[in-house]
Amino acid sequence: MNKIEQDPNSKTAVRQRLEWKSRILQLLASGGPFAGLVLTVLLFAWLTRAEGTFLTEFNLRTIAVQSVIVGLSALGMTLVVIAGGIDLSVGSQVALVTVVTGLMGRDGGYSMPVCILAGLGVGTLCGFLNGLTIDRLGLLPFIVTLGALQVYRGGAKLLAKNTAVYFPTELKPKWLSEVMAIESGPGLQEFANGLPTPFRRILTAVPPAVWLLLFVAFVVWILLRKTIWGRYVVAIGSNEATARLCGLRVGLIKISVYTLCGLLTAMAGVMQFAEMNGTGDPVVASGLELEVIAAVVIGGGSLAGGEGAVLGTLVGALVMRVLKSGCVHAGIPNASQDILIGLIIVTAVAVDKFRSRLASRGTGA
Amino acid sequence: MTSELQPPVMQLILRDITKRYGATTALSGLDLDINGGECLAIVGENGAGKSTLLKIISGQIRPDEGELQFCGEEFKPGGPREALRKGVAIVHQELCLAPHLSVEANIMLGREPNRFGWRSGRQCRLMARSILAELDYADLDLNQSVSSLSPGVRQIVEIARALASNARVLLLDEPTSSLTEADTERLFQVIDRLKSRGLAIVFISHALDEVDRVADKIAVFRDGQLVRVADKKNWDRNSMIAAMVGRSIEDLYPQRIKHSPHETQESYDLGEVLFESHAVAGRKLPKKVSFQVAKGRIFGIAGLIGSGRTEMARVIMGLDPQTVGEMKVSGRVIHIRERTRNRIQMGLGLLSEDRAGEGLAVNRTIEENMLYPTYARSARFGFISGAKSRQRAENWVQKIGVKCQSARQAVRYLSGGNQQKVALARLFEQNGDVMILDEPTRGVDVGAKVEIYRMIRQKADEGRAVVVISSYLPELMGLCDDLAVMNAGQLSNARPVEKWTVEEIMGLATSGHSGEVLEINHE
Repeated sequence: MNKIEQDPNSKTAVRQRLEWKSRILQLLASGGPFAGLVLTVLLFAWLTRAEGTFLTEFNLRTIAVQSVIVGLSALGMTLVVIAGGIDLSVGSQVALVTVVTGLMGRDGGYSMPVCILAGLGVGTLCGFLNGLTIDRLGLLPFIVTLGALQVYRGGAKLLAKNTAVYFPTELKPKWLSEVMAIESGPGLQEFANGLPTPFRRILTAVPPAVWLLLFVAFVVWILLRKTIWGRYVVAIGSNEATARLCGLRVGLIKISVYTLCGLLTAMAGVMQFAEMNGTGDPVVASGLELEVIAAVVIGGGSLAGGEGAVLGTLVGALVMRVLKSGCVHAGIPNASQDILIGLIIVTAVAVDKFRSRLASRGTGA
Repeated sequence: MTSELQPPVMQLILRDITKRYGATTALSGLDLDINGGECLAIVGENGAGKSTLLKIISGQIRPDEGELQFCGEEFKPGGPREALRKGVAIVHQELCLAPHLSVEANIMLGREPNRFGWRSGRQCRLMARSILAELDYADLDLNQSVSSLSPGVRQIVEIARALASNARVLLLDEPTSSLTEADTERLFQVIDRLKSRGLAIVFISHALDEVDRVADKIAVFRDGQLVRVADKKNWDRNSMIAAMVGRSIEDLYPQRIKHSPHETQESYDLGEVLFESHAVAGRKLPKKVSFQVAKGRIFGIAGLIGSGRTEMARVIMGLDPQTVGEMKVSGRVIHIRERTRNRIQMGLGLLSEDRAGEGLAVNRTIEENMLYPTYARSARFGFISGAKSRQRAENWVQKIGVKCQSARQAVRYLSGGNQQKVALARLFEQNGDVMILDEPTRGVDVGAKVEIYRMIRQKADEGRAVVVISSYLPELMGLCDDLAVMNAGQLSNARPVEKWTVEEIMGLATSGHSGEVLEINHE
């Protein structure tokens, strides 16, 4: 027995070596978006070396906070994209969520937590309706959510009567303005002071919203990689016919994916609400869906379905924000910014495709 | 070298061709002559290097070593377009036609005679018609869209397209894998015509019967090497198989049940029936199907493609709607609108005929594809145990001999036979009482076929009821215990296999199919 195990050319040994090779390639593949992030950061650090405002702690915290809204929604979009779908209505959902949350306070006089729950509920419902329509009518997700984009945006405008909805100041808790704050606010400081130093350091190292994003990302990662549900989501995106053949509840799983995307987007909406210091704005976040889809795709998601990564999506969201922030700091005019960002998105995905093809050639038989 | 290159007829000469992919050698030191007016059949197991050879000849890949000469000149195509321009055309296994365009548009695609960039419709039609006439398909409607054609006719359109670009060497990569016997025979007539016009045909097939029928010379490949090439008369079935697998296969098919002599043609004792279908129909097909499959027996369903065999399997699984009729599994009635999921739990399982399109999620791992319907068995509260799942998959990999790096490898990197084993492992892991196998050996090499037959028989011996659907009649005759014939959505009465003759089966399968002439070339 021992002799076989020690033989470096035994079948198991060879198999294990090959597996290591494919693991390393996998690591490289998942590291792709990271390389892009580092590259973009370095590029803008170099472009703005004269100003010296880009690579400051304050600016990095700003970028992190700003990526929360895109990031939360992009986590939901990652699930949708992996399942082979798309949701174009997330920007409108965010607006609708801010409006409903604001209205619950202004017109209903409910406390903040209740209003937030209502907002989350509305967003979840939006996602559920998207999923239900796609499944029951058998329409393309692109078409259904393109319609939903209009419907939810219109609904937000209708509810808000076309103006901003201001949450009553007396109902605003202290923490609302601190959630999306770049520097930790007094409330958080007070809370953190009660903790031992190492915990305090960690807690205040990044803004609270970023902690939320990381926590949610972890939960989504668990769902996707460790549960049967996650396996089935990938299966449906990879080959829906196979999923049906294997007796998976394709319709139900799809609806659950869109519903979850709605919930995560609603969380992004609540963050948007907090960032605007308690304002419901029916025209906010228009075009957000494109930024969200870009984040997913830069992170390795494939619009053909079956592929996508939680970590990659987070990195993708960061890349998008770094690009915007970097352009501002480098003094690049708005119009050129748009062109640059567009080009970089396409380049990033092209490079990623090339890289994954190399990786698959390495592991291919 | 050059002195021997004075071809009396058109000739494509390959000398010392070697192609490597990383550490694996796909082809090594190959010498082969392909002559005009001849049909060269290339046979061998999957991975033997047949497809690599076709890719080299058609300019898709370049050899690492060796040279090609075509009509006395060096032949080094930079790509498929250049090879085509020089007269070498390939017809792929997966047909490459534009389904929305008409027959004529497909034939002339990229070769349109034009004037100042304007397509000359009249000339296109004339050319397309004359090419089809040469192939004895003059009656084909040029304006028909390709999507409405049968696979056999599509193949003809593809060949016509190759002829439109003046191909002199025609490479056919498993052209018959999705054709019915009638279409196959018609294709062979076309090949004979092309040969008589001086074209060189290279024909890859897994079906040795077809090779016997159509080839002048047969080349057998194994492990990237040419084992032997010789005129057909110098080969027999056993020597071919022995050359392909490197050993002799005594018997392709496993031993089947012996029937007692008192069984008559129309009624015989089946034993315990595990699956029953009473007048089951789908929306269009099948029309009304009744049959019974008993424990321990393999029930074969013969019939042409499009006769409703696959549709029947899909209706049974609940993948397509059932309109009338009643089905029972192990005595339990299946509700007419029961979901696929519940049918699987009741003990039904299907191996899909469309391996890449439906049977497997090819980008996902072996483990996932094997365990999709049964993940719950290695999970707790919906959370998958990675180690347990992997163990289950690795067990199957060992048990049925899937050649792979690990169970975490994506299915698309496996050969056809190994992919089919993954799909079978899923079915076996479901372990239902009734297993329906739709074309279980399509695109699978001889060695893997034998293993698959053995596994199917073993499942029957373990007490399952097995239904095998196949277009390949010798396979059904060799493997099954009982057999029925599907035609136009209706299933004939079943009989034990030995009570059927090939002529009877083909007669039933093709009756009412006007225009489809059939010749039977079986022993």
